[in-house]
Amino acid sequence: MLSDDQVNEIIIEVENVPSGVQRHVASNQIFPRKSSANSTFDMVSSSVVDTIDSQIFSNGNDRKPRLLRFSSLNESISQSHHGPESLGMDETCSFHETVQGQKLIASLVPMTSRDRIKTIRNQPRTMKEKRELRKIVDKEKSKQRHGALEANCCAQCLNSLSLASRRTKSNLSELLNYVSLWQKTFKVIGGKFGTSVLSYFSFLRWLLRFNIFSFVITFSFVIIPQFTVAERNTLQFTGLEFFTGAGYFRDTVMYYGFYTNSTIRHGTGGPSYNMQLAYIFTIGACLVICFFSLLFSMAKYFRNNFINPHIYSRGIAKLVFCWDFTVTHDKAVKLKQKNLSTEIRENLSEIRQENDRLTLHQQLTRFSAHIAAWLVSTGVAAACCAAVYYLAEYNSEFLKTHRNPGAVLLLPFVVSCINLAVPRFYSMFRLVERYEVPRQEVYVLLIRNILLKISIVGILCYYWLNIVALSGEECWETLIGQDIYRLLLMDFVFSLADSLLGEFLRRFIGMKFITSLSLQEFDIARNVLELIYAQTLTWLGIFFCPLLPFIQMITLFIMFYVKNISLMMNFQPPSKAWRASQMITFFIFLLFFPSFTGVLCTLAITIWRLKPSADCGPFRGLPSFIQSIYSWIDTLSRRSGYLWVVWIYQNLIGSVHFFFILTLIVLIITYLYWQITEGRKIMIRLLHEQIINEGKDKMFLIEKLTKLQDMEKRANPNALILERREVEQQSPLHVEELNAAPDLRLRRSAQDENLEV
Amino acid sequence: MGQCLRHQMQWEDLEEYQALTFLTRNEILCIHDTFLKLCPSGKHYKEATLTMEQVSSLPALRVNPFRDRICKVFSHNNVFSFEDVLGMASVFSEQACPSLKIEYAFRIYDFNENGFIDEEDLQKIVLRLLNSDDVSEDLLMDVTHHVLSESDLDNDNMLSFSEFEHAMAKSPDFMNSFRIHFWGC
Repeated sequence: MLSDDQVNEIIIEVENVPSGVQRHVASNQIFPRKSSANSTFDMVSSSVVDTIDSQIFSNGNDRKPRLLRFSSLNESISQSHHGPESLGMDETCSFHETVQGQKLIASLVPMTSRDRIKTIRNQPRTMKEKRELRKIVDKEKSKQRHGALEANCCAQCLNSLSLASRRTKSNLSELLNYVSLWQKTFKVIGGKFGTSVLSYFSFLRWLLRFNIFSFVITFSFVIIPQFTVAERNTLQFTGLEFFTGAGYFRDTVMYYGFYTNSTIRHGTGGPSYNMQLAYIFTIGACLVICFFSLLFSMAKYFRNNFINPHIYSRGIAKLVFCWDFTVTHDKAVKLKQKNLSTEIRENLSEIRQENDRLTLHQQLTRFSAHIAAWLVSTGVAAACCAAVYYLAEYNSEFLKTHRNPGAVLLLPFVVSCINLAVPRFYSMFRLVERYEVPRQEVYVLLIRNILLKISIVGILCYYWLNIVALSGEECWETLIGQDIYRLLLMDFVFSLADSLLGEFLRRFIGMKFITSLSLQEFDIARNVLELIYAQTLTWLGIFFCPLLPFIQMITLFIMFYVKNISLMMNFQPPSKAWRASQMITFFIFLLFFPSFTGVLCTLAITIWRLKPSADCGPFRGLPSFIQSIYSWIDTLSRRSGYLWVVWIYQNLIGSVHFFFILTLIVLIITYLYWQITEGRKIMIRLLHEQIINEGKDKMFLIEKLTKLQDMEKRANPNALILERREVEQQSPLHVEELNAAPDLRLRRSAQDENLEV
Repeated sequence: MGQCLRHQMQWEDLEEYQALTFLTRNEILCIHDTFLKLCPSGKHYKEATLTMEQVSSLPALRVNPFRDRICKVFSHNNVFSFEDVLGMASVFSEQACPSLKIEYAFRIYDFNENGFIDEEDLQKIVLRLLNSDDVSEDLLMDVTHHVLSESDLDNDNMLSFSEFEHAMAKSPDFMNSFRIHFWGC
């Protein structure tokens, strides 16, 4: 019944816990544990059975009923038996003299010093005990090493080396912590608003890291070489360039069109720097590293935050046990308590309602409301996309005739207005739609919003790649870069206005005019989606406007401070317990799936299908962007030293068979993992049932024991010693019964009949 | 309140504390400074103790609904030595491992210290969390019943350590919220 490598034994601890009297605990090991052949030190389980002392019958004031504590002990060494051990340990025996302590020491001695330190640190013991443990282990270790003298100096060298490396690592991590941005601000925000609002700011900081990294790479490999061969800028500079991105900026390193296609060479015979290859490889490397970084972050968050669907909890336990200890502000705590009270009541009433089955009529109404809402939201999104497309087309006609430099801002303005108004319109659907699980509401809202934003970006990409690129304009890549720059900047301006004007205004109205309106709450979902949208634009534009990560960096920096100030002055802590970690996983997934993959698709189409413009940029004159790499491979194949690169290119990257086999292998591995997961789910269910059955056994044994002890007491009230011995004899008896666990339930019915007689 | 002897912490002690706790060097030094400010004058920091009231009134713990339980769990003989304070800060730090946090959370929530979180403990927890005067008996019973039905696996109306651990280990929100930043370092 039990799997071979995890042996759960049920061991009785019969103990009396008179309240107010300290327990005297004498540890004795009675049962040796079976450990499997494969057990590592982490899986060695120790069993400690506390036996009763004379306090069973001596105290008349034992108010608590006797507890039979069953613990199925399958502990790893780093976890200790629960209970206030520090209370009981320091009287009769010190920790290292107990059997459990001996086992711990025995397992620590052969470990490497790093693992040893980690294990000792993880022990839930006082500092004094940990120090003693360390001393004893070191003594044991030196005793063992005493014999091998010749290996001593090598081992010492290694030891000192590892110590030095650990020290440098800890110093480095502390330095990194010190340099890490905004640590203090985060602590203040967390203290006042809790971890959920903090997650928005951590997300912002995480995106900032991406942009800093992209900027550093493009700056070093693409922009600096270009500076060395820069031509003079002959255009006029007016202030409007910051908004339109055109004009003076057109002939700077900001846009694709400025970059040279030559091989930069300083001095005859000096090193050469092929700008074409540098450009395409740098952007490619940037995106590849972002891809893997996103993938790993997503996997890490998903692994940590994945909730087993088997154990679906409504969350009352989480509300009770997951009080946010980081909140240190007095008012915030009071508010949190009030909100918690409301939320617990709401959850309870929802559970009560959920248990009433909905009538068919109600179900149909709900379903049709959902359908209607989805239709309306998709329709609105489609209408916005169509509007944006026609506006873009009309805009290009309009610009040809009118030469007003500010007119290019019309399209970004309209897009930002749509992004401002339509999500708020979507939030109003809440009045009509009803969800069984309130969490679903948040997810649905997020999906609708991201659909809107991504479709607008998508339709613009379609317009750029199909119309602008093929229109025969002089430098279409620069034009696209300018469009993206304008969109980004207008989005930034709108966010600033929303924070500085909108939120302050709302608070002003709430204070002066409509005093019943409470302080607003920070809408985490909407703000994170805005960040995702801006980052999508940045990634999209990095090919056409290499300086865009720098601009996004500055934008994020300013947004952090603005949002922080606005948060402190205009907002109250959130009223609902927001599952921050689950949401963050979802946001990172949204960043990866529609956003980053869309960018990759767009860039792939650009590089493979489109024809670069003839007069500007590093790829001028080539039939396609990818042609630069083809011709490079051709050049390499003529040189003898680099044939391996050509081989890799032709057989691994360029061949279909390789990708076919790779895909097949990945699919097989995925299928195997899926089957393993299914098997584990079944295992969990079986083990859960087993635990319930063992609980029933426990109840039975408690009853039996109390009945037996009562019988003993009644029969012979004076013979204390006799009874104590009997009790001690009964414990092994009971356990022997338990060892035949499958038969216990059968036996119970027979015993019950006996006892009732 | 006077200050302890301004004894500089020895380098070996600092190393040892870094090895035995999850705190960084800066955090240990910060805690050392604040401890010196609070402890009675004339004593070496290794022998001085703080009372539970002093620790309860620290800014990080002052408004925490469970501060008395935290002080009870981490103190020895009702006083805090410097190492007790370090141990407490270590468990509540960001870098502490989840098993340690769960272990101490269990001890904190076990009000009657019988090794289980039973209904009595749960009711006390809910009263502390809600901290209002109009909490009805029905609500308490309801909440207790639901918590037990979600987390009590062997149906004995109590949460043993394993059941508590099982419920909390799956919840990343618990790890993120069981943190206290002491002394603004």
